[in-house]
Amino acid sequence: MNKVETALAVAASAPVGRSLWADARRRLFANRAALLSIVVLALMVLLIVFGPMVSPWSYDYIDFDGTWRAPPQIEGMHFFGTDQLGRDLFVRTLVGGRISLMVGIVATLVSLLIGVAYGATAGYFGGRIDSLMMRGVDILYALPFMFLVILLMVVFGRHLVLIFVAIGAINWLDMARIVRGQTLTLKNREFVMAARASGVSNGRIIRRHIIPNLLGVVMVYVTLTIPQVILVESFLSFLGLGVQEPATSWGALVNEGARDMDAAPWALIFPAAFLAVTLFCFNFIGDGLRDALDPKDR
Amino acid sequence: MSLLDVRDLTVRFKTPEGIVQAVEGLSFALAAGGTLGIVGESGAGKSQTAMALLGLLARNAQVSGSIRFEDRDLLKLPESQLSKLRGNRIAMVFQDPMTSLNPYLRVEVQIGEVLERHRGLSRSAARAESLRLMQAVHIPDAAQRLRSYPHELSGGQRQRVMIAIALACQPALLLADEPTTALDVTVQAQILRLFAELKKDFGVAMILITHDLGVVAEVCEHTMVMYAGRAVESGATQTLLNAPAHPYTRALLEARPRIDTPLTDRLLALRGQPPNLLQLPPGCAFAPRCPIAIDVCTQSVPALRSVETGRLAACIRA
Repeated sequence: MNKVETALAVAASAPVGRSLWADARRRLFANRAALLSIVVLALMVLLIVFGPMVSPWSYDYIDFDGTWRAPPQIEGMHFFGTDQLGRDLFVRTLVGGRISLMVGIVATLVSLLIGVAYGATAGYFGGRIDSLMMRGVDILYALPFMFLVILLMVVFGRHLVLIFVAIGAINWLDMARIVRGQTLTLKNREFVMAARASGVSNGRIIRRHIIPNLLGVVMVYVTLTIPQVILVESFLSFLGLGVQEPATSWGALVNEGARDMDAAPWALIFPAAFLAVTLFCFNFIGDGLRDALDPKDR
Repeated sequence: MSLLDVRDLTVRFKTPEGIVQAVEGLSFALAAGGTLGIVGESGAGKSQTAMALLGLLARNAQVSGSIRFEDRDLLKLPESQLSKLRGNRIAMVFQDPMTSLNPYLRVEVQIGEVLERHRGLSRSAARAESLRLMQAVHIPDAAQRLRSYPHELSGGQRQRVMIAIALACQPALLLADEPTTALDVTVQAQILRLFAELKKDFGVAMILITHDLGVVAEVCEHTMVMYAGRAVESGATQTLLNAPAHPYTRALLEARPRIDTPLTDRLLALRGQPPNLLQLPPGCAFAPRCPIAIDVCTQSVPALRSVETGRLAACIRA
């Protein structure tokens, strides 16, 4: 036993083998566009979280003496100017960013969890279970999205959670289909057969052997879904179905800004720029991840 | 009392094209600690026999007969009981070590998985045991290799890991489905030596599936030759290889490349194609390719009969 213990101690101190993930990370960081996007996105998140604390203004403080102030208003601390109600656009842009990013990330996580579990189960068990589960997906696909959203709004009233629910309910369908397709090819791989021949249970095979092998594809899809979800939220807010005043999101701000863009272009430019930069970053990261995780390039 | 007693095992697959007869009326027995080689061409039913033993046949399979293992009929066991046997009492080593390990998991996790599942070891106990197993299959720097990912190991090392996983729970029966086919010749020799050594140390009974008669000669006490889902000959390896009774076994032996034949000579190849398993001929399946076939051969399937003590052959002319 002593020999075993010393050998294990040696192993613990030995250099750890480079995993596929470490490999992928190295390759991702070697991709300049992706690395820059990660840095910009991190700065964006810091700004959105801490920016509103720095400003003396709050996002819903109305000042009728200070409407339509053009930026930069350094001495008045209105860095991005004010809107038609005299509200500070710097704070509103950042607070709107909180909502937009939150919707993007939470709705994507919801669709990720449901989609991966559902798709992996359907794909792994195959046969009748698969047919049944995927027909369910097809039925949900057939529901028109806008109809679903309007219906939810009418029945439950406008609420932020409903946006998560509505977007998540639609997005996990794509995720489930992608994951199911991948699982179908994975389950015939020899290591899954080897795991079955070792008596590993089905649940454990899905968790331990199938899902880790899916993560490459899924991660890429997630980074492409987040901007898509942010855009959907913007679209809903643009239609007046999204967040409710005085709370705001980038979509809602762009909507308001677009109304008065002749008189006050800054009310459009700042939120639009934040939205565009964020979407760019996510897309670049998604591209970078796809390249980094592609086994053919390894 | 033998460890494994297979009686009249038949495996058929229902496909859109018809019923594929993968294994027909196969019977054999294996004593504890014994070794059996199953030889045959692709499609002879060797791998499906192994899969039937593990209860891992495809969904469209229809199985009949009986597989008695440690006094239980595996074909009658519920799935939950079977999965307790798999990897525990019956373990399997697969053909291609390149694809049989999960690329995303460290070696220690993959060996430990079996130990945690069947022996209920804690994670740290499983690690210590994994290390011991890695040393038992002679992986150099075993402690460091435990922390490796499969792609950092060579083909031979990966196959050693697969063997370590198979031996983790000290199974009574080890199925090896062409364990050396994907490896080059020198590594092949090392792995075969390892099998012989482990058989002695662990006292495990082994079924070695291969199409390489050299492998059988090296490792197996008994050999069974399969053709088109049936056993055509079986017996002690030495006598079977020295004096084959069935014309198919003879043809296989003649088709082997030998080191003492001049390079200018052509290798003898078996004439014709293996039969279509969807539509087997009425008589002996080998008759269309058999050099000594007579009319009777194409009329009824010859039964496996004793040609001398401990020797069975399914040929009326043997």
